[in-house]
Amino acid sequence: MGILFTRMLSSIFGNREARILVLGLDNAGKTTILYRLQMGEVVSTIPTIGFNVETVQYNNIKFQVWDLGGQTSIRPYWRCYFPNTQAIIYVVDSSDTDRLVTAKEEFHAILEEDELKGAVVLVYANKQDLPGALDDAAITEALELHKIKSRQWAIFKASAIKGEGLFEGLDWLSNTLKSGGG
Amino acid sequence: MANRMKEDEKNEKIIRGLLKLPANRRCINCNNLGPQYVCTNFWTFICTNCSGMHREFTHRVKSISMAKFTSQEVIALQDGGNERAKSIYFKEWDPQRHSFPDSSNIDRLREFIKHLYVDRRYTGERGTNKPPRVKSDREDYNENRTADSYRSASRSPPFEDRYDHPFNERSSSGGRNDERFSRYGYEDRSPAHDSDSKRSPGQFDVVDERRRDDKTGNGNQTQRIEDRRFPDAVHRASVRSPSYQKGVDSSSPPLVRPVRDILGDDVPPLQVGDLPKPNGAGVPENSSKTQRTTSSSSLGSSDGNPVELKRANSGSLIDFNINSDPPVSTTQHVPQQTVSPLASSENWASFDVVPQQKASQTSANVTSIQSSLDQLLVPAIAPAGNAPSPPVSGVHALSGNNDTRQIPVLPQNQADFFAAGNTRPALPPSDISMTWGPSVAQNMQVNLTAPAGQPSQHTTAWAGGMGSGLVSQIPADAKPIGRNELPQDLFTALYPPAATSFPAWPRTPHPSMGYSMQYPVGSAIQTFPHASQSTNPFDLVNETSLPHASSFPSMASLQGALPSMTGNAPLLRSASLGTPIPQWAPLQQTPSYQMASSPSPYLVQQGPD
Repeated sequence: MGILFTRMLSSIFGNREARILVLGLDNAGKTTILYRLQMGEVVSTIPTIGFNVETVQYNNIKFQVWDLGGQTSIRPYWRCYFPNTQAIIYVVDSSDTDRLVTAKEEFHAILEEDELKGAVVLVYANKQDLPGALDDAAITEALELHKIKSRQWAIFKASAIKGEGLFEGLDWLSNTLKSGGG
Repeated sequence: MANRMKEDEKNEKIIRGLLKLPANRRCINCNNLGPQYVCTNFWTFICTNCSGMHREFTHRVKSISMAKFTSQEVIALQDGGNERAKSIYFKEWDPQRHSFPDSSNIDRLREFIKHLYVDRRYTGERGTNKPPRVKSDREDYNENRTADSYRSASRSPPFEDRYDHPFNERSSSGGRNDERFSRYGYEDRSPAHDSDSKRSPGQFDVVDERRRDDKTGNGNQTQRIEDRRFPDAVHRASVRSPSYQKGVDSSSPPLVRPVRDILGDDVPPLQVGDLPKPNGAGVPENSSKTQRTTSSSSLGSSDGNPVELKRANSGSLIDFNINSDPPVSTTQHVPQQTVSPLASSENWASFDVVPQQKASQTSANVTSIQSSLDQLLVPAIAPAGNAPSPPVSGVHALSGNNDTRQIPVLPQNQADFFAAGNTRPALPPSDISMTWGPSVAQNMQVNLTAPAGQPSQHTTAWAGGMGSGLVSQIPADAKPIGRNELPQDLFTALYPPAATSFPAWPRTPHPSMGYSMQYPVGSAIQTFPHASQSTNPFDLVNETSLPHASSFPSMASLQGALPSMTGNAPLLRSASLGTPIPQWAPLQQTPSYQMASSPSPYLVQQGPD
């Protein structure tokens, strides 16, 4: 209750906070995106076991971004972070066509979670800088995003390495959250 | 679900078991203890930092504990692993000249990984032919792994890529521009023209030789290099040729000739291919052995070529001794060592017995001997550089029956020859060894007398023996058997024996004489007559004998050192580091292949040289 109350206050005064989970298969670029958003730089990453959490101030919204490890065996632990989440950023390696099916399955499993019923979904079709990367339309098809019901979602082409598309996504996210979508 | 759980558990158990293998205990890239990730592009075990680097190159990595592996992945990992990957990506990486990057230095780590897997700087890839050869032959090799690796290479994307096209790898891995570029670069490198200096891998050997040569002060260095280049152009054969040369130089140039003959008649190509591969593959596995040999080589380098020559000679002698032991030593390392003492005493005296020894050697050669031989060969090569003058004559002498002394000389002479222009002929030595390997036990004797005829028969053995052949080549002078043993443990053992048995050397020479005779034949058909004319060779030997004598004295000193060496064997090993040998071996092997495939060309080349 206290948290809710704090949020209501902050929303009233225009200084909103949002808790965001960054999910996706391993090696999708979640950590790189997180630090690209937070520091504006490409950092050298290692596979995340556990999580990274950073706050990103953008458009008057204070995003608390949780980047969770995507290795197979730790995906089940994502659910531990689901409560009180306003938005999901789902990152897809657009060049890893072999695992798009897996990415789709994980994605839809997340959407089934009750605790994420109210979360908006932002999809980054990441690694557009790589040859052979599928575009946003192809990823939309592969992830079957059109099957999403009663939820706001969007997909953006992105390249965390080049810094392209990330803030466009955040723009959409902040606007959606401000409008009460989250 | 239950089944799946069981399978996951089973797979994890297997992987945990793989992690206990010595090569998998450390990150292949930075040598950090306890790798926790697997790079599924190369099936290597890597640390956390390196996993991050690999991801930057779009290589796939999986956490051992945090990811699930499919059964197919586990199988691939069983076939792969760091040991095999090292035989590929670190083939020409010399620990003595290079160092593992500090895992805390991310930039250096990134560069290193790029060089390793993207640029493939140390894979020694050059000719596309190599792979096939390797595949074709090797069955006898104890070092199945190496053979497997080659074979597997064909299986594994990386291998194919190497051989066929770098692009393939990229494509397999999800290819990217960078990789392609790197590949291109690699191809450019492949020419191997300037590679000697630039390409450390294949050329490393060359460089080493040069160094050795320089040390020795031989003017042959350039020649050798050229020779090597030729081999490169030909394919790996060139690379091998140096080793062969070395081997020949060291002791059994004559052997080389027989081999060629044999190879030409029989299935030289395949065998050759096998041999090279074994060597390459063997390197990782035989690293210890190779290290030893390298150490010897390194010692030689430090001491100067003479030392190496001596070592090679001693090694050959020892080998002889070992040869007698060989039966016992069928097991590779241990046998050799244990045998060596026996062999030293017996073999010398029993040159006649040689056949048996050879046989044993061949067997031994196949396994560890090959690697060791390769190593030995390399050292021998260095020696060759040292004693350039008597080369040909020395060879002839060998054919004649100079005996052990001649053998030592021969190596030198051979080396000279090789260095001068036909060191590659050394291949024949390898061939000889090959022949030995086939005949290993029985044929050994026959080989001595009529290696050429038997070669064909041995061809099957060749593949297995190829590696050994290389090794044997080194010892070759003395005798195939000795060579085999010499490479690794033998050397150490040999050294001691050599010191003690010095007096015996003369005796051994006679046995070797027969060998040498064969060698000449094998090395060059032309030489054959010489071989037949044992007397002439002898004359030559006599002539060469002077050089020999000189060398002998040094040998004695060396031997004096050697005795300690025996005790020092371990030291040598440590010194050798082993990595150099692997490189050498691959190179050498390839040359031998070529030789086998096209003996005549080789001869021609030699002639030019």
